[in-house]
Amino acid sequence: MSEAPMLEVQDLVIRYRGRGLFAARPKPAVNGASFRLAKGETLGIVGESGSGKTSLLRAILRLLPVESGSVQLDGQDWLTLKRDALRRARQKLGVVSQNPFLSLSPRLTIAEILAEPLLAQGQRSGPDMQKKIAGLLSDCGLPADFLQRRARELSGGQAQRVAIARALALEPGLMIFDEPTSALDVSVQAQILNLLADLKESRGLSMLFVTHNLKVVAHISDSLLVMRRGDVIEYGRTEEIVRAPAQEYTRELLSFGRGTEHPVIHKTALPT
Amino acid sequence: MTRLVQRLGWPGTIALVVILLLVLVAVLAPWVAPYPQQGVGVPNVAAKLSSPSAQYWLGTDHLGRDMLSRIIYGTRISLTNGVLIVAFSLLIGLPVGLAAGYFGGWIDEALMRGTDVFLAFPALLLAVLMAAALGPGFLNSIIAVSVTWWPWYARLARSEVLVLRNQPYVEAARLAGVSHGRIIIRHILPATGRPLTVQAALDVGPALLTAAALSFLGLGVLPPTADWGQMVDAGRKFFPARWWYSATPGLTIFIVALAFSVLGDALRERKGGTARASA
Repeated sequence: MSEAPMLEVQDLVIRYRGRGLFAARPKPAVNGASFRLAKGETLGIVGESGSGKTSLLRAILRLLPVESGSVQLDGQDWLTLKRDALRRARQKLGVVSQNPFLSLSPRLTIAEILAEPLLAQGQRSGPDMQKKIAGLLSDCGLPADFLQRRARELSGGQAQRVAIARALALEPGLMIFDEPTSALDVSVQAQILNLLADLKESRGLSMLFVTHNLKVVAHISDSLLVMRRGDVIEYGRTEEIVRAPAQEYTRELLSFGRGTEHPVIHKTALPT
Repeated sequence: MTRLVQRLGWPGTIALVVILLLVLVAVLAPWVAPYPQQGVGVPNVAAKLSSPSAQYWLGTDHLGRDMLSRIIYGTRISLTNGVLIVAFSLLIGLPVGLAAGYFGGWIDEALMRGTDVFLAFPALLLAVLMAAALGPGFLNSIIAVSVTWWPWYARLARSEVLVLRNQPYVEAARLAGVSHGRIIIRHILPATGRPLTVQAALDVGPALLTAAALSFLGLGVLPPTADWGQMVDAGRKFFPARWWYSATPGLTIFIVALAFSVLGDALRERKGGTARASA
């Protein structure tokens, strides 16, 4: 553990502003979250809606201001970066959000969508970029003839693969997933999770995985962080938490997702 | 054709046909006008103030020029007026609205309060003041009306951007490190296109009407160029004895403004756009 972690969050507090001048200060949306994510590892952040997991994520993405605490990304103080420095540093993060149809611009072709991050970081368009884009797409399991289509012509799973390809375009060290499978149906979910597992292995990615579905993350995460009402109530290695959850709440989360006998979906059970 | 009627209804379709005819007449003026020379402004004093007849369908003006030809040539001025006013207004209003909506915060406050200053005055009054300050003339009258017009586009663009800027795909571009300028131009602007073009198309009518009002007050195009508002004004001295001089261009303005208004209503009902008071 001598190497700097990919992401280290310390005592992060996020509080939305109260309405009106004299309104009582609201309870923090995230109340002192701390965790570290080593390179090449996957952390799952789990909680119901309203637990603060999305606020935590958006703060890490610098979409929300932070009240106190610190975030170190690859040894760099992430929260103090400003404007252009922040814009350039964003290539260290790849982000995949919940609904691919909303996160892919409806007016652009897939090729244009994938070129966007490359152009934003100053790369020149041309045959090299086209080759790179086609390579990204095939890494995510889509043939090159998808390049000229638009997002609405794709299925949910295909669109999510495009979103993953876009997130990978700048070869980020850390991939962040915000409920990447909850808008997809079950069989497609499994395919996407397998794709992520493959990418993690082939590219040595660190991943941060936010979801309300503990079972989805349990099988790809090395460690888990369980949130409830802004507090981190459990944080540790996945096997330990799944085997012996310390909190009643975690047990409840584990028992969600009816229809399977096993609390954890085993990787071998997934269709490939 | 039947599909068009279905979508716009009969009044809307008729209005659309009237407007298309108008555009056609404007483009083909030298061929459509019975006396193109007089339409441009060459006097024909021998026939001055003749009443409508087989030779001069709508009569002649105080310089003996055929009213029909004058009105046909006036179509060109009126339509370019309308289109240019809307174009100028978009040119100013769109960037202001985009910037205000996208950046928010104090930039939004500053830009929108500046916009409110222009909205605080009655539109026509402000246009007249501007035109009086700038002096009469084709371009000046267009600038004068545009000054009262652009705040509407700024507000419309801003309200569109407020919705769009939180779209996940805009956020995704931001997270990929795309610059603000590029996000606005490539990801936001194309999506504001449709509501803005509908509004802009509808505004050509009222804009043209305002320009006609200015030229009626002598603040628009200068003679001998034919312009409807200016013709109504010139005919006032001969009213009611030579009623056709004022009445025919006035009626034309009425028909054209009505056509735009009816088409606007038809489109608005179909598109569910925003209602707004016109000047």
